[in-house]
Amino acid sequence: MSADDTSTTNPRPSLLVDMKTSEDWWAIWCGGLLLLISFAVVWANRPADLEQQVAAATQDREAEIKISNPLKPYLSKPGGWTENPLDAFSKAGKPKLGEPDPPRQSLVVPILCVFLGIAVLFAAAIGLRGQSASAFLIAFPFVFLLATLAYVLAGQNVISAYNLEYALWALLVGLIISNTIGTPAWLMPAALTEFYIKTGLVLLGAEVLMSRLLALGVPGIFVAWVVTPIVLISTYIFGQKVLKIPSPSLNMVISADMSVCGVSAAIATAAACKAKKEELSLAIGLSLSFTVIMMVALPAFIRLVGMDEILGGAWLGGTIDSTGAVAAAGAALGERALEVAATVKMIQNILIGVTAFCVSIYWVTRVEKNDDGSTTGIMEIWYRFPKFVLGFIMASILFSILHSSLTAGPEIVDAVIGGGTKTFRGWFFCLAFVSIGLSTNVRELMPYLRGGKPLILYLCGQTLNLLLTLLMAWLMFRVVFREFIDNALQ
Amino acid sequence: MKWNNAIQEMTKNGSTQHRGALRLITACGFVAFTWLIALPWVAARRSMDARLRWLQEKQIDPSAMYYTELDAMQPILKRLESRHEHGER
Repeated sequence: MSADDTSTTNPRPSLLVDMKTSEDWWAIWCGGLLLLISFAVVWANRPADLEQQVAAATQDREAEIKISNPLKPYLSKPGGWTENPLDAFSKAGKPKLGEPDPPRQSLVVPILCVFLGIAVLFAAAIGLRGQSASAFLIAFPFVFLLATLAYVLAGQNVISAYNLEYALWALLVGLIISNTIGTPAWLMPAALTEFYIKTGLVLLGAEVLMSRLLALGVPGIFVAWVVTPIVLISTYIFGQKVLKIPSPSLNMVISADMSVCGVSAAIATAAACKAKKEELSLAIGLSLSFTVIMMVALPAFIRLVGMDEILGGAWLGGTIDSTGAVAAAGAALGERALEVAATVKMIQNILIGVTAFCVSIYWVTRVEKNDDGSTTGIMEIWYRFPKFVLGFIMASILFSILHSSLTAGPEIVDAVIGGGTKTFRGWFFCLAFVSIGLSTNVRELMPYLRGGKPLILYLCGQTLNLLLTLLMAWLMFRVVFREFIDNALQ
Repeated sequence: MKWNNAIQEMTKNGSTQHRGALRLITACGFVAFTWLIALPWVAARRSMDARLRWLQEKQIDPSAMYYTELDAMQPILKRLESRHEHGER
């Protein structure tokens, strides 16, 4: 049966109907609305003397362009703490020179504002999609409370010092409920894993700024954008052909999180290739475990062999999965290593958009084949394509243009993201992982661990990553572009 | 006979719920012990305290998932963008 036949036997909804009802489109509408509101607020409150501030900053490197997001004080997540978990609900005020330390500012109201914002937005979206908004509103406070607890667990300073991100604790909190007393049925209307992930990814799109791609010139591109796809594709092929991993989506998610940038890449790729929630959980578990080891072992190894600081930084940036861990490992080597490592990782972060787009296209054309093996037509590709990826890509393109073309574009975009949408994106991912935990039985994870294939895949892929990245970093940063890099980092 | 089955079913459900609640209490107890006693104790060790202070001083949150979540990235980006702009001039 051809693709056309499929469409006649299973009538597809029209684009308009799809836009009104499908989760993917609603993720775009919700994410887009939050981006639009945040941008409008920043734009309306930009300083009147912005042109003069930009002119002054062009003359003097030390001059600052001051743009703020009025929403920022009203949006937050629990912060860090060491001894008392209640400290997570307040933060230290900014001290002024010559004045005593200001009292801590409460984060309770900003967290409640986020709660209300998501509750209203999602209840409206669910209602407009023809589902029960009231069932969502009854369950959502409890799911949000669990996400808050996950953030508090992740905020303990020893935990965060070892890169054990909130995703892991959100998963744990959900798993504890579902595998002890069982998740009550009334809680499930708010356990909207995919809706939270897709909306969060549309918001993440605005942070994928192509205009920052050339931050380290050609050498950065070679380490982050040439080695990474080679490692990703080689690892995936190795997993399919040699290890014969039964689930291509598990193989793809592990390959992407290992080669691109850990949890954020795993989330984007899992959504693009429609991976199961257990596969995403396993992939982030692997990634976080190895990140903890690598962020301690790699700087020690670099110091032991007396490797050059810049080369070491580029190597760390290209290989350690998580951004925060890259910065911690880079800073252990020195200021220049931190700068190179964090910038290479940032350039690699930007690859998420392209990866998600390419994986979704590959999936709908090559993996989700037609039953009779015939070629998939353009319309069928469109029907199968995960539409939220369009929102993700559009947000990335739009904000990249704003970043590079607006007067004070970097400051405006930073205020839009830093002052609002980044906080929502974090909550959406946290809620998604709580939802995964709430709907996962630990026994369902066991078949994926059988034979240790995911672990072997990760280890082999990471070994290739370490070798290729080191070779490319040495070639680009210390041989071909040595002078350019040394001048650029002065 | 039906009554017997019903009573057996209720007893079974009751004991499953009881076991579930017990497992929940155990898990919560483990989490509470780890986060309220063990981790603060680890944080107070000299080497860990020094590491936490060093991370705070450098504005590095090792659990940052994306570069926009990293405070240390802001001065780096500012330097890079400033060099780029001044280079163009």
